[in-house]
Amino acid sequence: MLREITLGQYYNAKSVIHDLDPRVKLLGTLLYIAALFVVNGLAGYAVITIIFLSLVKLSNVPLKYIVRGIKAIVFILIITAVCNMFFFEGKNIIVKWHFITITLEGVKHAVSMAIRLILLILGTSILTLTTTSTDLTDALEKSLGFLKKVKVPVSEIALMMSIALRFIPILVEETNKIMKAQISRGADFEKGNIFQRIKNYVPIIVPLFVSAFRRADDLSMAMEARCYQPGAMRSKMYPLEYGDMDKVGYAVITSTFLVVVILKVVCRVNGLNQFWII
Amino acid sequence: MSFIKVKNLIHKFNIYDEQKNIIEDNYALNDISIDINKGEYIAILGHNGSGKSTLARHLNNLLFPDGGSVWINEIESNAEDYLSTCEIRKNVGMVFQNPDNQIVGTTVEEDTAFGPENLCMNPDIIKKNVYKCLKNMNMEKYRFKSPSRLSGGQKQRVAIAGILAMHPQCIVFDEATAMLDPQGRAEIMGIISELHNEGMTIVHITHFMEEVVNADRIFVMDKGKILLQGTPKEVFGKSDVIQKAGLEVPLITDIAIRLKEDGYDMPIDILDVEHFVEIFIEKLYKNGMPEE
Repeated sequence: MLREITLGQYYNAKSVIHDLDPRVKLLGTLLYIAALFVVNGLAGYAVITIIFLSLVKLSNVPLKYIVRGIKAIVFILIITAVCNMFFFEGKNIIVKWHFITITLEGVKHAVSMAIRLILLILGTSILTLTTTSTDLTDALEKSLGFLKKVKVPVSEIALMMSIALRFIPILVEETNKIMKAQISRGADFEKGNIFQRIKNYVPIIVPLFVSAFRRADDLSMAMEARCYQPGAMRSKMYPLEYGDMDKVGYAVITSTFLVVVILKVVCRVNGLNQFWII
Repeated sequence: MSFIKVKNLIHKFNIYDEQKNIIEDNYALNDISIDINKGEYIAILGHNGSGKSTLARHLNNLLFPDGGSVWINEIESNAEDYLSTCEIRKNVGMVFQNPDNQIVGTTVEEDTAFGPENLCMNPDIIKKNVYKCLKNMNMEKYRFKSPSRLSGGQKQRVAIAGILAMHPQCIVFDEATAMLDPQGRAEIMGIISELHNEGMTIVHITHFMEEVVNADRIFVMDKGKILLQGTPKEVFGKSDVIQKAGLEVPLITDIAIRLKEDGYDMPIDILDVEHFVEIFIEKLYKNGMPEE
């Protein structure tokens, strides 16, 4: 089940975006999200979509592969859209049946939310598709380095994240193994209503936790044996350093963001702040 | 002074009751003294719970003595002094039993770099080091791969590379072959003897008898004490003591011992099959074929 989710898994390819410093990509993603919430109309979304598509083109990741990631969130998408449709208050009523009222504003809002969510997921997945988890944690560690001054253990948290990622496949494998062991002893995970089914999973969760703790114990010992000392200075095999492309990247990202903001401001001043426009 | 010097080492895992009073003194190690010289290949044998892993952990300062002392390369193990601890860990690397639970990095290369990074080495030196050690372990083509896709033997090789990258003088293998298939075990044993030939001090902890026949010296442990020590021939000659400690002598030695018990004139310190066959044929020719 877990293998089908392509959302956010590193896609190995050679491209400008893959080669960028992860910190640049991090800022790019943040500004992309910000831009997505600045605009509020179809034309605005079109602009963001163009930005998104050009990023895809630059990243050499097939668009099909990225879009497949949406599968994982279709359910959430539908729920959000439906909720927005029913509970958004407006004047132009389209349908009224018992307690359900659907207004034109509600539909517009639902559509706008759905587009926004899709663009949000797709856009941010470019970051994880083009950046290895190691680079990503390194970037976070470096960008949040200022928090060390207020005694936040940034490096330790970053290491914890990368170890967690490293152990995901191991724990998935372990879960499968435990499941098979329990099935071979007559456990049934398909039977009963939802509460019983959740209860059926207890004999999987408990041994999984026990083994995870044991692994953590072993790992901490192995790390200590290799001179790891929490809070101590560490060097890096690949220290993050900005190159020329990264400076260009920063410039392109900030200027694109500014253009979107200016467009929005101009439209609002001219009274074009509608659903159809921006 | 010898490279590793353990003197009257005591380690206790006490058993407490609910009020945190000691119910029972449980000696994991009871008055252990060993000396290991530079470049030696030492094997430590013992049943489960004999204290062999506890002893190994003292050599790497993962545990500290409750009594007695441990000296590594003339540095005394001391729980209070972090610098000495780090220095000892730099000198003595340790490979653990479970291949999955000792790999930290998300790629092979990154894991090998973990130790040198902790030692604050220069990035260029780390890169060179990592490549050299992975090449040494024949793992350089897996550099950018995720360790979860490797076989058990390959994972152990990555773990060894990660330790070699820290330039230790001694490597402790704490049952490093116990979870591997026969092929992986043979791979690791090959690497151990190669490292030994290059001058590395090796401490190999195991309960597989076949793995210790090439060692320079063997220590047999039982109930926190050293039961026997000496060269493989000396140790396996005393098969009754070994069997009392819950261990088995290598199969070929066992056959020789049984033949001797049945009245045949066989030496009982045979360790490998070729040696056995050689002696056996020689005896056959000398005495003529035994009767049916």
